[in-house]
Amino acid sequence: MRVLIIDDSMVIRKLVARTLLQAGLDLTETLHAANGAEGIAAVEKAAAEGRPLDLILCDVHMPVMSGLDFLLEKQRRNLAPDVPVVMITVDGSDPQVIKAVGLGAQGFVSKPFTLQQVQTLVASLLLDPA
Amino acid sequence: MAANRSAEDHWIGQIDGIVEEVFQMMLQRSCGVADDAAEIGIDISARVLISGTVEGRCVIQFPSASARKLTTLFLGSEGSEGGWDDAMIEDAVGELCNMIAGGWKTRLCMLDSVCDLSVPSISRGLDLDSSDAGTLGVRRNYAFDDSVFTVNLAIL
Repeated sequence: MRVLIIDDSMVIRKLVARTLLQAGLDLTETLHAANGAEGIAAVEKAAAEGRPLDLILCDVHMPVMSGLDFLLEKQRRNLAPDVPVVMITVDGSDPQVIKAVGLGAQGFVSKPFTLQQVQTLVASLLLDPA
Repeated sequence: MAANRSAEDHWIGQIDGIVEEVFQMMLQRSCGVADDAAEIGIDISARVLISGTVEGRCVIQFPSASARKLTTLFLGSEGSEGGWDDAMIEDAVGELCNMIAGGWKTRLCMLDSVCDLSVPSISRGLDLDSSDAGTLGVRRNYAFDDSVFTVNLAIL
């Protein structure tokens, strides 16, 4: 399974990657991006190489390109339309999270999160993609 | 005066719960209240502002050793505690501040109110404003694995 984690915090990217491993995901590769623009580049590269992604986790607020703009750009270019996107936020009531779901994000995880919360969300997306 | 004291007690209880929740959920560690009178050296601070219907400020302050320990808890054992670079340590302290401020915002702002969180700003030393100026100010010391830090909250 190939996962892309987009977050301007390296600490959060590593923590999320570790949580996914602990959740039992068979990660063959974890790609990291520090903002939405790097995320778009990573998605494009994965498509060009014929090595599709299975899951994208994306922070909401980032410099350069936000999570919302990442979703808009991904949609505009029709990149990885079938790959589930989960937003990462510190504030589940943030209107940006609601907008993200409206733009195709399949869910969100609120920091702090538990292993069980991530496990449940990811399992539901990968076993029963929307 | 009594009402202010009561509000402080309320928020102290809330903050204790938020800090413990963040450590338990993200780091699988307990983090409890430490001696409030203890002098904790401050080498690195992070601040997140709440703006909108409610204006608030969350500042957390760490001595270097505690900040390195926190970074190790976040990143695992891939590096020694002395081996983290400044950017990693600042990232870890900033993220902790972000999560504590996020938890506080959830409890502080009503569902129908408009409140935003700033991104964490980081400072080396004491120059982040953590004075208790405002309608309410709470300062608490906490400890995890024998490492201490301070949380300052203010409603402005």
